[in-house]
Amino acid sequence: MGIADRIRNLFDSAGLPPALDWVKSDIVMMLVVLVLVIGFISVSVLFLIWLERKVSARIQRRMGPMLAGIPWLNAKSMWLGGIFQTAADAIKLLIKEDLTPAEVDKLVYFLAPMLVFTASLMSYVVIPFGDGLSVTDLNVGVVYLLAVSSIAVLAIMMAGWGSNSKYSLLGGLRSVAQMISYEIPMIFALLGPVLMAGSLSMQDIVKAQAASHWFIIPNIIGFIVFIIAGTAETNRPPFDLPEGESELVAGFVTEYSGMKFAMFFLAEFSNLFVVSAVATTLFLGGWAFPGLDAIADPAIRTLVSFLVFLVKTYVIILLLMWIRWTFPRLRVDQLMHFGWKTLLPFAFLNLLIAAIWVMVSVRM
Amino acid sequence: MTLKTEEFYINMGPQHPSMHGVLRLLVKLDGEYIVDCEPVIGYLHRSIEKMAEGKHFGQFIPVTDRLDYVTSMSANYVFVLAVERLADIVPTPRGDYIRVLMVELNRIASHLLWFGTNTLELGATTPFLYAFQEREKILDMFEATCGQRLTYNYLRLGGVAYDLPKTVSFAWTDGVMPFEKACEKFLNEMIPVLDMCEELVSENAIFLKRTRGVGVLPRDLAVDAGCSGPVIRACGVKYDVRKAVPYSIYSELDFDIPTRENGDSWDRYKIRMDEIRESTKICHQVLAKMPKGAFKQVLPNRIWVPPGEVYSRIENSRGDMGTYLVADGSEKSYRCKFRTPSFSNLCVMPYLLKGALVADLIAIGASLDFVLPEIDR
Amino acid sequence: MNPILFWSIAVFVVIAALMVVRLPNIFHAGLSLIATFGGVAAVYAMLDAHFLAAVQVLIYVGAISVILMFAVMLTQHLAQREVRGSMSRHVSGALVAGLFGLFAVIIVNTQQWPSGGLPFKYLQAGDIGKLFLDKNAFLVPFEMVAILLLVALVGAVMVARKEGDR
Repeated sequence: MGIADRIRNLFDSAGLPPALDWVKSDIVMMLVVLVLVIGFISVSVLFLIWLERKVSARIQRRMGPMLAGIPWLNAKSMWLGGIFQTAADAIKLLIKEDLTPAEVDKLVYFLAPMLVFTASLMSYVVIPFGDGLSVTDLNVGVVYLLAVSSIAVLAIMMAGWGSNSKYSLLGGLRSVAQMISYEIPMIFALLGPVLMAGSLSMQDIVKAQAASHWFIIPNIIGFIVFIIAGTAETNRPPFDLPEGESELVAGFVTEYSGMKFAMFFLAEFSNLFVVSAVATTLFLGGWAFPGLDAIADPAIRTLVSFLVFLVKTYVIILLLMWIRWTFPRLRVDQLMHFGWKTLLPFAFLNLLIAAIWVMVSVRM
Repeated sequence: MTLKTEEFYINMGPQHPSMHGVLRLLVKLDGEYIVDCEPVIGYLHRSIEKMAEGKHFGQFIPVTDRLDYVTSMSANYVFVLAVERLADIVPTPRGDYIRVLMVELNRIASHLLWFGTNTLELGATTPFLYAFQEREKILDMFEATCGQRLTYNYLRLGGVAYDLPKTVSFAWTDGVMPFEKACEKFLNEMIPVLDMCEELVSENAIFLKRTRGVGVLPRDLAVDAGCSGPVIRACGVKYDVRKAVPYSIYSELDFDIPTRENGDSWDRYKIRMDEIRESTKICHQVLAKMPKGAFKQVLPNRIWVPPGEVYSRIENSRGDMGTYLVADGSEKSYRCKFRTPSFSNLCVMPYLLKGALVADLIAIGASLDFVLPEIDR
Repeated sequence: MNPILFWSIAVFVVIAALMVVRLPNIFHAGLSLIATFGGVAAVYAMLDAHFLAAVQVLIYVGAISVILMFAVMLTQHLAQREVRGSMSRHVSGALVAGLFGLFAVIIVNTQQWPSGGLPFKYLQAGDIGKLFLDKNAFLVPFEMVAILLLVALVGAVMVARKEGDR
């Protein structure tokens, strides 16, 4: 049961004339789902950027974007709270001059931002948005997610190299070193819930949590490790020294401008959503909540499960934003020490605890 | 099979998002480690000392503002003190007290600015805004007093330019208040905010990792290089010009000099936070004891000063600031040399940076708290 | 298995593999290698070996290629230089590869390969794990490989250490 099947059911119940049966074919469904997913990503990234600016502003005792509005509202635009600010910024980035430095490696330079965004897009395929609402339910969903995030690592390396600049290269290498170091604690943190659910499929993990309890209970250490490793994977502060402003230059995105820069930015926020969604799915029960079975109508059930998922994901997103605006940056070598010498042992510990929990609960 | 690594130079500045002013650092790197660093200064040289020879003493006071624009009250003060000593001018009691109040408020403002930019360079963007909000209140008070927010031109020979305003009304005072009450209100409200900032930052694990043991300045080196201010007080040398060579009314005021032992960035940070609290104590005492009377000696616009030479020193926010003034009997100085603490503090930077990582460069530079206009003049 | 899909991926993999040895710019050759690995993962996915496909991307594309590219990028002067083999090298290389390919096809098609047991389609990740830990199946090779990896890791650290004291 995936999104495609739901849409097919929708068409059936709405009474599709037989002449339009080709609409229910695989190819067309694939395209429809693709458009839906890209639409969802675009809207949520636009919203997330606005949210980030507002949250940071409120933490810093200021207002944030307030004025960007639509022409006929004029003075009353303030009531909208600057929600169109991101759209305005996106349009600005699109019409900015696309400066390509002369000596860059053309293929690599152009491919890198596209690859970063593609890797991020590919992760959305296995996220369970609700009851029966995942694009496809791979039976190796968790491993697939990890595999796709390692493609993003490659893309950043290509960006650093393709810019043909000493500083971009160094920044890119540091980003890559950071990302591959923090992948390992992330993998081990994810193994705890996988062990408890007995399956690598994301929907199965959610259903296992619906059947018993949220997996955060024995895996609290794993949850914290995952949150930290997730922040490092998406290159957000406090782990953003490779692209920090008080560094020599802006790291691997130095030579990018206009739409290509926007791609990296988009991918960062899209990854933020993915990391939060994965944390929600594996530790906080995904779209499941206690009263869900009571709802009889499947359409309402789906809708409610989607809303529950969104709420939980946004709680984690707000947590990550809060962390970003509170802490200073870690230095690169401290970052590596922390990842390998502190986070990894805790991830192992979490795996041990999860294994003992499973063994004990099987015996009982 | 040994791997030969190449050392390469990078150039930081003069335009750089986080350098304090137009400083150029020629850094020699071996991989991620700094082998050597050469500060190149002079990008902000404006011949201030030469200008002193072309303007009479009253005219030169606004120029001293630009000497250290973050604490321009102190910059005014050191010059005015020198001229007063040469010309045997005694400031009025009220003028003296107002001067001290202004200088201490300026010290608080300067340290708040330093706190904001220091944490900003380490990556924490939020304390910057908290600190600047409090600094805005000080700038409001300065604006009410002398009309300026940054370069005050407030001190005069024999006192200050204008009296304190009778009443003030800002956004943060509830309605109209006497100036003294507004000042007390600010000082009382700032301390909890300062506590909040310290709670956010001081014991934060990441901040500790970035500052503890980073940029350790050996005591002997600090003394030999002539460092002063929080930089040398962090090394264990309890030296403050206000206590060592008291000037103005400081001998009558009760305050401490925070000193620490280790000489690393965290100690320098903590000393400056403690100094804000000490300055608050001084301000309270000054407000309580403020005498009434004239705020300024009645003096002509131009004065002719008998020939002679004098060296005056005060405690700037950054350290020991001095003026060596040589007068030749005219209304202009013959030679006016400024000894600025940032210059001596910057001299130890190559030693501090040897063996450090590039990421520490900004952090260590920030903790030294130097301002380029003082260095270049 | 959809033949159009299979043949297009197969052609893609072969071309990418050829480009690895033919491209003059080493960085581009490295990227072609990554494309080859990705194509192989796609073939695994088409054969319903989903776990293997994901692990192929995770390990080969995500880890091994990264190390390879690190080495390419850090020896920068090497990467700027273009590597062009001589024509005789290309011819002899093609000849050897062609002969090997011919022998491989002959051997694969004429041998009787013993059937492994369960059809691949039904082997889940959990079953693979059980096989690793079953002392009658792959436990011993699994542990030997683990020890081998550990030795390689420690050896690499020791070799790197000897070259400089940091």
